[in-house]
Amino acid sequence: MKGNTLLRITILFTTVFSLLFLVSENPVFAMHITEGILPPQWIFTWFAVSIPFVGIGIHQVKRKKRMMPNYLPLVGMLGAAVFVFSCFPVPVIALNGMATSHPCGTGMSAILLGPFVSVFVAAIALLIQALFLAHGGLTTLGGNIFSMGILGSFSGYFVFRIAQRCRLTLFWCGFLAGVVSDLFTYLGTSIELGLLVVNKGGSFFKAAAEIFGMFMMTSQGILCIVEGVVVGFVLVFVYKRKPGILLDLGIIKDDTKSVRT
Amino acid sequence: MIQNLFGHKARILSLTFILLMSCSVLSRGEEHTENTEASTAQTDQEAWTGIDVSIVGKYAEKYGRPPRDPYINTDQGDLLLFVFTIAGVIGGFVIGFNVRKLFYEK
Repeated sequence: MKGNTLLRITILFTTVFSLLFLVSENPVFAMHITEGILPPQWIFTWFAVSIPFVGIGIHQVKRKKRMMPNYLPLVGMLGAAVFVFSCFPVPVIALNGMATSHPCGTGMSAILLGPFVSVFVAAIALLIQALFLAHGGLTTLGGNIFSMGILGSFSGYFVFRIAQRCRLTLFWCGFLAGVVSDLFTYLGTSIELGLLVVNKGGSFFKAAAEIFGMFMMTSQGILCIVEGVVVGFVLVFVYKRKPGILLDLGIIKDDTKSVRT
Repeated sequence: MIQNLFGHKARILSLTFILLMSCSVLSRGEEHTENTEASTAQTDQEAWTGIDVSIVGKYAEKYGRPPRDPYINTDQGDLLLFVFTIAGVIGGFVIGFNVRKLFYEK
């Protein structure tokens, strides 16, 4: 029964995509890296880079849900949070004037779920956005998973661990993870766009640095701090409300000892 | 039983959402390209343009890879607003449901 339903949905979507592929011709600008921006060699490269991470993420979800009873609700909550965060335009007044931009949420999900599972939930969020919200694209999904999922999650996760080793409080560990994951996400996007000039004989480093500088001056320089504050407060909330979750996830070692928040 | 009922309703809701989206996109008419008064509208919109529009789009065009339509183009009139509202409601529901389950239920 389940297999039949899935098959029907797959056939429906294949038909819809085929029809839409034929009728799509006007340029539309949207968030993330939009449909049509990446050339075929980079489409395949970014998919090849991203798929193993997503695969390991799926495997880890299956493994961890057996070990921790509350793991699936946590994945659901953070998956939805990443989805909402990454399509939530926040107005920012910065050096380049008034603009809107979105946070990523992958720093938060990487701390609580682990970096690989965070890549998986980011992939699901990006896929839904590409399908229904005209955000990103299906051909650029691999590139967007690389920047927001892989770079955002792993940078946030490692910075959180380093900050913990430096004995920072829980809030500041989360704050730094949120800031760095946001910056690395936009660094990833800058790298992907910068690589477009390689075939044209331009300087990749110059192009990537120029785009990253533009992101920072326009809104992301401020928004990454906002994201850091949100991640910090979320961790403090989880610790105060149910420290057992952080203990089960290995984020804190002993819930009988007070953690500095 | 409650879980089954919830799962069944969720499945029906998801399918309705997918079908609604697909039908809306399929039934779209020709694109309305209004070149007149474009400059005024553009100036108004530029104030709060998303950076992925103003930066990603700008550099992609500069490097010869301009963006094009998504395969399912919901960015038509108020359709995108509708989709965003639905996505926000579903996202908010999922977050709220799991927050209650994780942090408030014993």
